[in-house]
Amino acid sequence: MRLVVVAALLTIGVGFSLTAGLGLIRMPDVYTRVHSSTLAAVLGAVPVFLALVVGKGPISRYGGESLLACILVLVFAPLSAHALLRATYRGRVPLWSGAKVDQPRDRLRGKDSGADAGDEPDSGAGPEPQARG
Amino acid sequence: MPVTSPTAVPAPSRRHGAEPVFWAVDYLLLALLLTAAFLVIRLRNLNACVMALSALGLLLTVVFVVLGAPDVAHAEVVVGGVALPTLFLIAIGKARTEVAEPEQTNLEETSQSPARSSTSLRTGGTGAPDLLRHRPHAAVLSLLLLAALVVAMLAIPRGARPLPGMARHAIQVALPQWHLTEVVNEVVYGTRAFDTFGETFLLLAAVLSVVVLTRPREPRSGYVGEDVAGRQEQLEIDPHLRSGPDERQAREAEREEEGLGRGPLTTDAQPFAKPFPERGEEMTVVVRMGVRVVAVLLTTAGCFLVVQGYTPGGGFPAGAVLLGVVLLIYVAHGYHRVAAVVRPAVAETIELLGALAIIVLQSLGLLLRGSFTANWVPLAPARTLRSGGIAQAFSLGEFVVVSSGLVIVVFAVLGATRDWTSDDDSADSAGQDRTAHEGGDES
Repeated sequence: MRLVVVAALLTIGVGFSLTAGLGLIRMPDVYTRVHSSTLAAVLGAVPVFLALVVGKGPISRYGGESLLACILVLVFAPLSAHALLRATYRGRVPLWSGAKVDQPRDRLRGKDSGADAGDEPDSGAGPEPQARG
Repeated sequence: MPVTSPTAVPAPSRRHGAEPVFWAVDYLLLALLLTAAFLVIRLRNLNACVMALSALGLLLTVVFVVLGAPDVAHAEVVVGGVALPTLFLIAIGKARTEVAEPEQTNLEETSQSPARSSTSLRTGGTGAPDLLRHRPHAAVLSLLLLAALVVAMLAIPRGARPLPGMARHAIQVALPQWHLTEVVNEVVYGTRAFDTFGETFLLLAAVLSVVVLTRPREPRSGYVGEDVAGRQEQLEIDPHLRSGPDERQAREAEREEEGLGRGPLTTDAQPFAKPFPERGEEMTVVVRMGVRVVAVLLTTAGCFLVVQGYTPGGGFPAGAVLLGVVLLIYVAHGYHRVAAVVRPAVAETIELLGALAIIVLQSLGLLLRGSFTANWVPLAPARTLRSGGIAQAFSLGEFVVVSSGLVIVVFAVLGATRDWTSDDDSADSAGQDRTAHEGGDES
């Protein structure tokens, strides 16, 4: 029974890693590619760690360490993708020509010369930073 | 070439089935390593080169894990994957801002500077045919190196092959003499402690040379920002000195030409993207919160590496992990959050105290036991916090030296600027230096 769960988790992890690798090759622009690589980190690595936890038990040496690694990956992968893509967007790396939606552009429009204005609600004083532009 | 020896540990029968797979993983990793190294050399974009270098470090980490050296992997993932690329990125960024500044004042369309940098890069590269034609000795050397690496790779003991004598000695000695269950720690901090001692002070010498190379003109309390903050005052003419309007106008124009007065106050305030300038410290709440969580976890993991004598690790990897934590906090929260600790006065004092502690620790072995690096601390039972005797204390001292040393190196390079006060002044002082040197030679 435990073996079945481990095998299933490993299959899920490897399958997601495979699709993420395909996406990394096939996706048209940097934004969608980073989406793929984050998929590999989260949905590809976490099931493999969980398989180790299930196989060895959560209290054991390997299980505990992989739980810790699980937490680190779950925090770090979206975080680094977020920071990377934010810097990429602000560096004006173009979107794929077929992209339909560009939500941050409307928020950033009209204040692209302001050095102190942030587009995030947390960085400014008020909840609506567009009003300062 | 199956080498069998009476001392070889007989491998379990299941291991034989699994071994070819691991063998394949080794060579797959080597191929990836070669690819990454090739990318480092051949890529045009400098930042991409640094990313390939980081990938090279991560692949080396995986190689170390596969070869069964997790302690080296711990150090490599931070040093090769994070610290070295960070230093390269800092250096590239500094060189680039120095070059780009005068262009910005002249050209409104800033698309010219990347083009120029790429053309300047293009002249630097030499293709593989060029290498064969113009530098045959380099090609021969590369092939010899490749052959040596292949031979070394084939000679790595794996599976059923006999261990080298050093490893067998360490395995026999670790538990009875040092009460250490981790053999690598016994080698690093016990049997070969003198080598580690030398390495530690080699690192200290390297840190010292970086500090000397990047040292500012005046003593400063922080690594970053003070030179920029004080530059305007340094260049001010004496306000009590009355000067005519012509002179004032000329000085204004001169300052405008040099691009002063508009620079950022600290590197935190330095814009990192051109179209949407934003302050470097301005990470989103997602990043700041995540780093806050992860920093605690990583610090705990680093301390675990150093205090548990029976885990693979010890001072060097733990110190490197601590550098990673400091860099994370610096990137996410800005310099002012780490400035309380990351100051020359604090960091250099900690570094030298750690080095002093190591010297005292090892010299006491010479005094009390008659040999340098001998164990003089009573041994606690195995698998406890104090089980290694002097090895544990050495590991702790190494942790202090390595962590503070790496932090000093990164931030000293980060704060390195061209900070002579003005052109006339520097020319004068250089001329005085030259005359002083000449006078010294003559006398």
